[in-house]
Amino acid sequence: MNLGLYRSRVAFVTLAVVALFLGWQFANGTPFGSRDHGNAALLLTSGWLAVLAYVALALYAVRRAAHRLRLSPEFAWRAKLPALEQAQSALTELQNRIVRQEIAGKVAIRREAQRILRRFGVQRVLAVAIEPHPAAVGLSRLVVGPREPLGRLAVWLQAHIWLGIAAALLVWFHGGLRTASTMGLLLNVLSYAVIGTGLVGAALWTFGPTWLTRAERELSVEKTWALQQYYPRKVQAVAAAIRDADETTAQKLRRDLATLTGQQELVRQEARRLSVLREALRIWRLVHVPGSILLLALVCIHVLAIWYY
Amino acid sequence: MPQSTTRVDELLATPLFADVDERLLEGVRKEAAITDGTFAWAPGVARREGFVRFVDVEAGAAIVVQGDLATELFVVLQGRVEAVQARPRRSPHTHKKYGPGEWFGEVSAHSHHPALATFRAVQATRLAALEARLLTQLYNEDDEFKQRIDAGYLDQLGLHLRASSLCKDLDDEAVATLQLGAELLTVDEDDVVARAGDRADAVFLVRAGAIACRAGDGPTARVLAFYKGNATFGEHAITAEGATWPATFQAITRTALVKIERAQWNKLSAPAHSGLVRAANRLVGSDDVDAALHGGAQDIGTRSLLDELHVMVERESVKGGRALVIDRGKCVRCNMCVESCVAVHDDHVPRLSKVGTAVVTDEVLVTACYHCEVPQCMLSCDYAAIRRDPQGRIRFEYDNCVGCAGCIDGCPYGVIRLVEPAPPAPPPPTFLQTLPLIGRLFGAAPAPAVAPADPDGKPRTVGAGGKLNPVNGKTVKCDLCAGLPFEACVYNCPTTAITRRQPQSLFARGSDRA
Repeated sequence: MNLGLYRSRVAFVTLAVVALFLGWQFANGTPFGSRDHGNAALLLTSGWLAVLAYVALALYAVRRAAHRLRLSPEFAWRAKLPALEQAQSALTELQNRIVRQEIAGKVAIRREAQRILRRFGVQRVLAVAIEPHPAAVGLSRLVVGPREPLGRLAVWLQAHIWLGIAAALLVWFHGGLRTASTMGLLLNVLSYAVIGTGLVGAALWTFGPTWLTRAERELSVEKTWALQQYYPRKVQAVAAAIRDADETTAQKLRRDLATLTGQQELVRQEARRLSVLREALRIWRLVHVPGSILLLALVCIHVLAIWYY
Repeated sequence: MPQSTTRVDELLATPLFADVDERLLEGVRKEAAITDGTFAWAPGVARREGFVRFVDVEAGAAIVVQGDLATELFVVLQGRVEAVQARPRRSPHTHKKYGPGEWFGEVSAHSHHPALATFRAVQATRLAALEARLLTQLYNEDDEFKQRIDAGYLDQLGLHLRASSLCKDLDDEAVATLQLGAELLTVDEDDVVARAGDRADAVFLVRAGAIACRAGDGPTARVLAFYKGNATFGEHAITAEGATWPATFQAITRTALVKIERAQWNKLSAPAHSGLVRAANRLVGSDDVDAALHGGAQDIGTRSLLDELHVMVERESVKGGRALVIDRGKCVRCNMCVESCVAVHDDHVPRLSKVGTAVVTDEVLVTACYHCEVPQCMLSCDYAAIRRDPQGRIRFEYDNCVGCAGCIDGCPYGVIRLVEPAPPAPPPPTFLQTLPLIGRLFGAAPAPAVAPADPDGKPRTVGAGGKLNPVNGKTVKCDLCAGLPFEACVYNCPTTAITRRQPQSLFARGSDRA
């Protein structure tokens, strides 16, 4: 079970915002989505926060696509290898100085490490963390790694999930499931379709990998692909051999052929079963992705319409 | 009298074979007879090709094309041959003309280096071609022959130096200066070329054979690197005066070396020397360019690449220091890791293969590069195309890679793959050429350097180091997204299924699943 998907600081922010709105709503005493004048501040606040949440949710997709298309800004920060290697060499020397106790204190070490990174122009590429040395009490150890300036995609996904949950609640506070107008109906339906499929996706990504791994323990999808290429060739070869063989050998080869075709069919069925399982892990995106694009467009129209009128 | 007998007599009458042991000359005659089909094979003996052949070429025909993997020594019997070396961003360099009795091709045949120039017949020419195995036998067993080949090699050394990572950017004058002070030496198996702690006062270029760089003695000795044909070692001698050898360099087979003393490097002009120091620093991983340029004496043994590597090896941080692991219990099979890997490499070839060894039920140790303690790939590479960087990572020097696939066979984990060579990128246009609309007025972008000849009549471009690209393809492996601020697969996995972890954590319950 992949519970790591929900491990995010954004969860606390989400819970705080939702608690705030719940308190506000109960203090107001008006029903959810009420258009009373006394409720205008709550409506506007929840509406704008929902818009912000939607934009933040869309940024996850942008971050994902930008990397795939090499449009992400980090690609422009590529450091030259000699500079990188010289910086690493200098950092190793700094580590030696730490071991020789010529430099001590986290602040001084950090400052020196930063100076080295700047000197070789690799401060955008490398990050240095300072940890307690595992082999010597009281000594520090430099851990050099990539800077990862935008944060890992996994962190974005964790935030995406929690912001999605927050957006669902904000939309509820804001619209109160009103379906009187066409726009209201569309926005509510689309919002809950997108958020609902997102939650289904999160659930599938939580439990799916374990199911899939269990199902693939004997034979993975990749292996079935390879076997599906192998069996026709083998069957063809045996069939050709039968044509040229004498009757005794041909009889034996026919038995082999029957076994082979049986195995081929089993592999085909297994491949289909595993492919269905794999597809199930991403089928929710068929609604989630186009729905999200449409929803964002409608939200823009909704905001502009409210602004105008 | 068979034709081969006449021709082999013509060959053996050339100055190269004067005073050579009669037993060896008889061997040459035998090989010519095998090629000619006149050799009487004993019954039951497996037949093979002869190691000597005679070739007649027309005027203008290319005998050896720069960049090809040539394995023969050519002796001109009649006619004339011209050697032209194509160089990136420079006009082709006419190296020499060879007349009857002169020879060429020994550098490539001896060191397995791709041909360093294109050799073309100026007029109708007759040549004798000796296969590398016969050349090696003659070289090893006859001192007269060896001396003549070495003298000829010194004459060709400029071509060889320009192909090394250290000297590839030097100008002709600098190369000629180095050539004057070069000394050839041959060491036997287990001979020590340089001992740890001794003063480093020369740079060595490996012509043939192999050198192991070892730290420590006896059972605790560890191999830090291997140096084979075309690799250089001892760059410390250039980067810092008074430097000492940080490890022991020992021949693991009979090895031919070129030794160039520090004093000779110091004779280079200031710009050439500073360029050289930069190249040397890159190779040894030293950071103090200014101190090196101005002769600041220091014991770089405490900070050199090899010393650092020794520390890393001791801490077991090199081999599998942080293994790439896929937790299948978290992997949603979205393929984002592979797509990200494709995105960061210009050739669009993924370095990540999700196939690996299952270490525990759901965790797979991905077959990415382990940056081994004893890098077999480096030992398998004859072209100095694999090296360690100061962090202990194994990196490819693509300028030197000829796509021979030796490292693929050498890698015990099967992580190296050969890919089709990408079409060579043209040099970048100048600023004026990039201007919109009027850019064309300043001429088209410069075309890639083109080799002067090709047997297929197709132009071939020249890569750095004077070698032709493409040769056979390019070997690729995980490069840890070198130069970028992330490791693409880890950075872009949406579920943290793929991580770099300490290997021991794989076997611990409740391990550090990041």
